[in-house]
Amino acid sequence: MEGPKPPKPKEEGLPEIRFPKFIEEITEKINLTKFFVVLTELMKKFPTINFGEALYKLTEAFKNKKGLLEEASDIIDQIHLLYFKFKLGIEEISTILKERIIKFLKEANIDFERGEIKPEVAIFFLGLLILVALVVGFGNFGIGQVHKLKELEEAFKRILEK
Amino acid sequence: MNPQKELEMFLNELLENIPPEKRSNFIEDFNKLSEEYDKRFKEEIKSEEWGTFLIRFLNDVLEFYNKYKYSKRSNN
Repeated sequence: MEGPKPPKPKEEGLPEIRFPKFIEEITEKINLTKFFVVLTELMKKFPTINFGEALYKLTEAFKNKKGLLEEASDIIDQIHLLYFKFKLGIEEISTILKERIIKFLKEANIDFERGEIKPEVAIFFLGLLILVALVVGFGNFGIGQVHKLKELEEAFKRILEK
Repeated sequence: MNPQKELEMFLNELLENIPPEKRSNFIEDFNKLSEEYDKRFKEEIKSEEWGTFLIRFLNDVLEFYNKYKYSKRSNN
C-alpha cells in the first residue's frame, strides 16, 4: 500500500490548520496507528462513497447492537478463514458471504450499491471492518478478533495493491 | 508515524481534491470544528466513548469536505 503522501510545504495564502488536541488525548488510550492511512487509501479507491457517514453508521451499529457485533465478529472470522486458510480471492469470498454481508449492511442502515455485493464492496466492507475494529473494537471484540487485526490489515493492503 | 502526522497527510489528500479557491474555506471550517470538538471533548466525553467521538468528528469533516469537493468552480 502506497500510503498518503508526506506533508507538503504549505500552499501560499492558505490559513494554518489547527489540529484538534483531543486526538492526542485519544491516542493515549486508542491505537490509531494506520487509521488515517487506511482511510485515505479507501477514499482514493472508492471516491464516490461517503465514508464519514458509512463509518459513523457502522460504528453506531457496532456500539449499540450486541447481535450485530457478534455477527460482525463472525464475518471477520469467516473472511479470515477463507482468505488465509483456504486462500480464496476476494471475489469468491464476496460470493460466499453475499447474503450475510447484505443482511449486516441493512441492519447497520447502510444502503449502497442497491444490495448488489460486488468484489469492490467486499473490499470496502473488509476495510471498514478493520477501521471500526481499530477504533472501537478493542473493548468489544473477542481476543481472537484483536489478534487477527494485523493479519486483516495485511490482507487489505494486498487487496489494494492488486 | 504518529496519528497527528497521519491526520496531516489525510487532510493534505482532502485538500488536493478541493478546488484551489475553496481550500481556505475548507481549512477555516476544519479549524472551527477542531476548536468545537476540543471544547466538547473536555466537557462531555467519557473515555469509553472516545472512538465514537472521533468518528463523529470525521463524519463532520467529511460532510463539508464533500460539499467543497463537489462545489462548482468559480468562473474567475
